[in-house]
Amino acid sequence: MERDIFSAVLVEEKLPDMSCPEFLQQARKKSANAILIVSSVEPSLSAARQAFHNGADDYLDLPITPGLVQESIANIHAQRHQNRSMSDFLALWAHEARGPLTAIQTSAQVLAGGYLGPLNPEQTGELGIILRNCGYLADMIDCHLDWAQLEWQQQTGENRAVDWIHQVIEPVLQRPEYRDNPKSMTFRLTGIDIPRVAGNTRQLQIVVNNLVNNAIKYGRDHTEIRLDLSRQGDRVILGIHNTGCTLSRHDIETRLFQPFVRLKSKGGEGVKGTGLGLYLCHRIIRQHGGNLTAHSGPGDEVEFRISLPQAPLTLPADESFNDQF
Amino acid sequence: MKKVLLIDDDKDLCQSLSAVLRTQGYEVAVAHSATEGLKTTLALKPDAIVLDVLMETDTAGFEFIYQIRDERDSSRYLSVRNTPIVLLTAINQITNFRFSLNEKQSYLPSISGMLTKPLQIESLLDRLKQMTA
Repeated sequence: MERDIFSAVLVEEKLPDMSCPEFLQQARKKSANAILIVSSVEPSLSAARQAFHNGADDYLDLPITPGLVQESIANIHAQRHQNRSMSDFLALWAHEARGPLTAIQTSAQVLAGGYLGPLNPEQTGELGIILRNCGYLADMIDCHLDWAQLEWQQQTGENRAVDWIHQVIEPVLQRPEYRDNPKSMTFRLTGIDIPRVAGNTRQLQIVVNNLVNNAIKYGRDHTEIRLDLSRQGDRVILGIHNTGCTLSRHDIETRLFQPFVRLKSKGGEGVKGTGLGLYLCHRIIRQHGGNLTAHSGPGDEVEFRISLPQAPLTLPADESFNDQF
Repeated sequence: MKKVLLIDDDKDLCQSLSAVLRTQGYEVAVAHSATEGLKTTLALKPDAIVLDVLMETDTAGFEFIYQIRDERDSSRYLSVRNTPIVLLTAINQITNFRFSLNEKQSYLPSISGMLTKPLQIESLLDRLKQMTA
């Protein structure tokens, strides 16, 4: 795999000089798309689970026949194609859904803003419900687009040296809905001379966008959201701090980054979400060889901390985003 | 009174935006396709144009910009060549699936800005105020 590109690799579980999980991890790093099939003389459920966890596409018992391998490869191709079609469909749906949502939201904003005449408090309240739910739908649509983009880029994306501040954080903070957020929350960015990280700019924007969106959604009115950049050895750390709804240690350790999980946080009652955002963030950061952790401290402060490896000096910079913002 | 031309195939959205722009003292005209938009631009000579991207084709809005900004002396749109344009698009800068689009994009002639749908009305009003100042 060092010397050539293979579309499929069949590997025996017991290797003389390396453990199977280690081989799978390295093989996956070398080739994100290669089909990896593990064969085993002594198959077990736990070994199979471990193989899948480390990137295997299939786990077969010996004896292996050419027919069995062909069938396995065909199944994997079909499954990947199905996932691709699903993500294409989701992207299309999400994009189409923005149209009617925009019309509803704009119409409600026109009324709520008092542009067509004053409203009584009950009418303002009802419009608030419409606008909040439009925001929820918009989040859901963004999550589906993020998801589809992630699936797509897994097959096409390449790592580049990414500038955290100018290519990731600032474009997110400049979004009008964040800059002029209805809770009047402010942003403070600290940290200078931060080296570039190795990654995919769009995917890192998805992560910061989700975390900032949550910090506003679950934050207290008129408080500050702090984004601290720092270095720890050869890693770059971004901490996003807000004050508001807290998280229990149990939830952080067991459920926070699971898909479709919505936590009942203190103060977060009635806040709607898709339960997908943090799962996507966690997945993206793991794929970048980093860590995403959450800390809920005293004084209702919550921190989400991203740790990513610094980009090697030989890695080319992501030029495509230089003139973008 | 400053004249604003809204070009978007979503009639509901145009109705809401027209209503709010009139309350802010603008004279508003509406077109529901890029082709209709070009004709109205020539006839009305608006002070600013609010333009959707995906209309009769996926790139109708971009084609509109190319036509208006055509720098050849023979262009039909010489008299409106410098009309400020703000682009409205559902293609989000952050979640822009398979698209790379922004207001400084080198392949696009100069525009005054880009706003993403769903739209913040205040952002549009601020932008129009700058464009028609």
